[in-house]
Amino acid sequence: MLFNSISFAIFLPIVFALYWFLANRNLKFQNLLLLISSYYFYACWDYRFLFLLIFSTMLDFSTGIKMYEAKNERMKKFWFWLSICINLGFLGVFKYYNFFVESFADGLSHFGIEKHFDTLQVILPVGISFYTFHGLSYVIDIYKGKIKPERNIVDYSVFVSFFPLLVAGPIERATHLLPQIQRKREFDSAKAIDGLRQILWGLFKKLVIADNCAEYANMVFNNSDSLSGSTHIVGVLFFTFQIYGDFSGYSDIALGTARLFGIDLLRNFAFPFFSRDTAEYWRRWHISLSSWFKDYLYIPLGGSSGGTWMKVRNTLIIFLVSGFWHGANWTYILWGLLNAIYIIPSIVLNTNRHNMEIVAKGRIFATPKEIYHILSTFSLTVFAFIIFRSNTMTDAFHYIGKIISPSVFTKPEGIRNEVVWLLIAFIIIEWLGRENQYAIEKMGLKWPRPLRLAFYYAIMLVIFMYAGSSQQFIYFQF
Amino acid sequence: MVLLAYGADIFISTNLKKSNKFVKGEYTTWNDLYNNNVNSKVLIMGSSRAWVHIDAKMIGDSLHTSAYNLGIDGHNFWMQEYRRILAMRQSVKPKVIIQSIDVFTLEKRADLFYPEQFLPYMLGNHELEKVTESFIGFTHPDFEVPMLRYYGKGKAIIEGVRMALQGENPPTRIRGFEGHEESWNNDFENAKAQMGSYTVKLDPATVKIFENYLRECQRQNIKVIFVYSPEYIEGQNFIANRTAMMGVYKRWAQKYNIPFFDYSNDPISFEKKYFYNALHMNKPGAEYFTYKFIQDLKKLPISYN
Repeated sequence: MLFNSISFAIFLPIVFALYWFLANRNLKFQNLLLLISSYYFYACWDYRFLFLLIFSTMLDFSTGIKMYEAKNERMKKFWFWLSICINLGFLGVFKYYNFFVESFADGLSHFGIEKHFDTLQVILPVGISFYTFHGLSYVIDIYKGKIKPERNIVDYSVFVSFFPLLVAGPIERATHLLPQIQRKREFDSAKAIDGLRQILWGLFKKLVIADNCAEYANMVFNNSDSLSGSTHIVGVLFFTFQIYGDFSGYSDIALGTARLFGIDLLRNFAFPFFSRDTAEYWRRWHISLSSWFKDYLYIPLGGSSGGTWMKVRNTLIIFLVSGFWHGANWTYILWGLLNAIYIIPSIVLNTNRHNMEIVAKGRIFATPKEIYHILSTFSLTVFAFIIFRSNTMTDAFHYIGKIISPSVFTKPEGIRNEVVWLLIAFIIIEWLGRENQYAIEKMGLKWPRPLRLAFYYAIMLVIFMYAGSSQQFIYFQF
Repeated sequence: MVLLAYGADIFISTNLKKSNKFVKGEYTTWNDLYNNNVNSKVLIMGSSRAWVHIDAKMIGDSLHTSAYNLGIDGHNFWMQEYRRILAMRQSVKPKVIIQSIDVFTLEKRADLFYPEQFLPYMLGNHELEKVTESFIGFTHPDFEVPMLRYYGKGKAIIEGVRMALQGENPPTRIRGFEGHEESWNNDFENAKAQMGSYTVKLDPATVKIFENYLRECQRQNIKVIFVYSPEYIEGQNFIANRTAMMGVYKRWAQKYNIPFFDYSNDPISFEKKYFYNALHMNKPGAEYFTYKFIQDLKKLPISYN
C-alpha cells in the first residue's frame, strides 16, 4: 500500500476515524488499533513477511526483558548477542547473501577458479532494514542501561511497526517513540492540521517533483549510450531532485500521518541541498539514519575521543557501512566511500562543525560566498549520486565518461519545460521555508484565511495537474 | 463536488477537443470521426507513416473523389481498426481503403501511446474503454469518474483553458494528412545505437482482427489496397525479420486479391533528403510519393467513386 495510492487514501481516514471516535477513551484500544492497522498495512505488501516482522518484534521484546533480568553479565551478553546475531542474520540472508556469494565467486574467478554457488531467489522484505534498526537500537539501549525493557507487547509492537514509519523510516528510537505510545493522546486539531499540511507538501514533493524527475532520470540512465554529455548532466541533476523529493516527500507524509494520530516522529530531512559543506549535508540528509550510525556505531568505535586519525577511521567506517546499508551493491559502497572522502578533510581540519545553523538564518538572500559553498556542496552530492543510481560500477564510469565528452557542450535533449518551472518553484518555496520543519509549515499562516486556503488549493491543483507517472518510493528497496 | 467535477470535465473536454495543435493534431481526426465529418469514398488507414506520407486531398482531387487520411501516430492496427469502424458508421460509405502497412502494423505495444488524445472523448464512452482496455493506460474509473483521467495531465488542462480563451489554433491536418517540414534527424542513429537491430513480434490478436477486417471489406465490396510507402534504405536492415513480415502481407494480398504497392525499393527510398528519419518522409518526400502513388492507383481497374 503506497502512501500515494487510492487504497491508502481509503485506509487512512478509516483508521483515523476509528482511532479518534471509537477508541478515543482507551489508550490500550488505540494502541491495539494502531497495531492491527499497521500489520494490515504491511500485509498488503506481502503477508508472508508479516511473520518475519512479528518474529523480529518478539525476539527483541523478549531478549530485552531477558537481558534486563539476567542474573549476571555473561547471561546479559548472551541475550544481547543472540538478538544482534539473529537481527543481523535476517538482514544478511535477505539483503546481502547473494551479494557475498556473487562477490566471492567473482573473487575466485580472478584467481582462475570458476565456482558456481547457488543464490537465493527471494525478494527483499519491504522495510527490513528499517525495522531491524529499530529493534537493534532498542536492544542496544537496554544493554547499555539507557532504557528499561518494555513489558507491554502491544506497545512495543507499535513502536516497531507503526505504519507511517514501517517501510522507510524515519528510524525511531525507543527513548523518543515509546513514551509517546504509552502516553494518553488527546486529539489536537492544530497538530492534525499541521499533519495534513505536511502530508500535502510530501505529496507535492513525491508526485510532482520526484515522479516527474524520475521519468527523465530513468530515460537518461537507461539509454546512456545514445544521449549527449549535457543530457547526462541534466539526468543526474533530475535524479538528485527525484531522490530528495521521493524520500523527503515520503518522510513528510510519514511525519504528517503520525501527527494525525498525535505522535511526533523524528525529523528526517532539514533542507540538505542548502548545505554549505558535506558535513552539514549529512546532518540534514536522512537524519534518523545518520544519527543512528553516530550513536550506535561511531561513538562505540571511539567517536571523536581518540584524536584526528581515530575520527577519520571511524568516519570512513560509518560511511562504508552506511553505503552498504543502502543495498548489496559495490556502487553503494563506493558512494559511501566517496562521501567519506568529501567529509574527511573537514574532520582533519576540524571545520566539520562550522555550519550548524541553516544558511542565511533570518535573511532572505544568501551571500555570494554562501551561494558558492552551497553550489559546491551540491555539485559534489550530484556527482556522488551518479554512482548511487548506476546499476553497476561499469555503468557509473560509463556515465561519467559520457559527461566528460565533447557532447557536454550541446543542448540537453528531451527536457520538459514545465518540469523545469516546477523545480524552480519548488526550490524557491524550499528556500523561503528553510527555517521551519518543512517548507510550508508556516507559509501563509498569517495570511487571511481565503488566501491561505487558495495557497493550499493551488498546491492540490498543481499536484492534480502535474503528477508524474507513478513510481515506487526509492527507499522501499532498502 | 460531483457537480463541480462534471462541470470542469465538460468545460475542459469541450474546449480541449477544439485544439488543432495538441497531441500532434489527433483531435482534428477524432472530431471528424465522432462528428460524421469523414464521409469519404476513399479511406487511408495506417500509422504515422500513413498520416505523414499520403496526402488525402491530392488523392481526392486527382481521382475526382473524396478521400480522408485516418493515419494515427504511434498506434498499430489495433487502434487503426477502431478508426475504421467509426468511419464506416458515417453516412458516406467508403468504396476503397488504402491500407498503409509497415513492419510494425501487426505488433501491439503494451502502453497506450499518446493517451492525451483520448481524454475529451472518454467520459461514459464504453466503446473506447473496450478498445483501450488491453493497453497500460486507463482503467474503468477513468471512463466513469469526471476529471479523474485528467490527473497528471496538466498540459491537457492548460490547453483546454487556452482554447476556451480563444488561443491561436491554426489547422495542422488537412483531410487527416500533415506534411512534416523536417530534415534528417538522429532518431535512426539513436535507435541503432540503443538496439542494434529490432525483431518485430506479431500479436496474434491483431493478426486475427486484421484478417477479419480484410474479410469484412470483401463481404461489403470495399476494395482494399496495400501500400508499403518508401522507407529509407539503410533503415530497412534495422528490422531483423523484415522479409518474413513482408511475406505475411504478400500472402494476404494473394489470398484476398489485394493490389500491393511496395515502394521499399523505389528510388525515393534511396534519397535521404526525402526523409526525416528512417521510417518517415518529410513534406517534399510525401508530396512526391503521393504523386507517384496516384499514377499507380490510376492504373488499377477500379472506380474510386
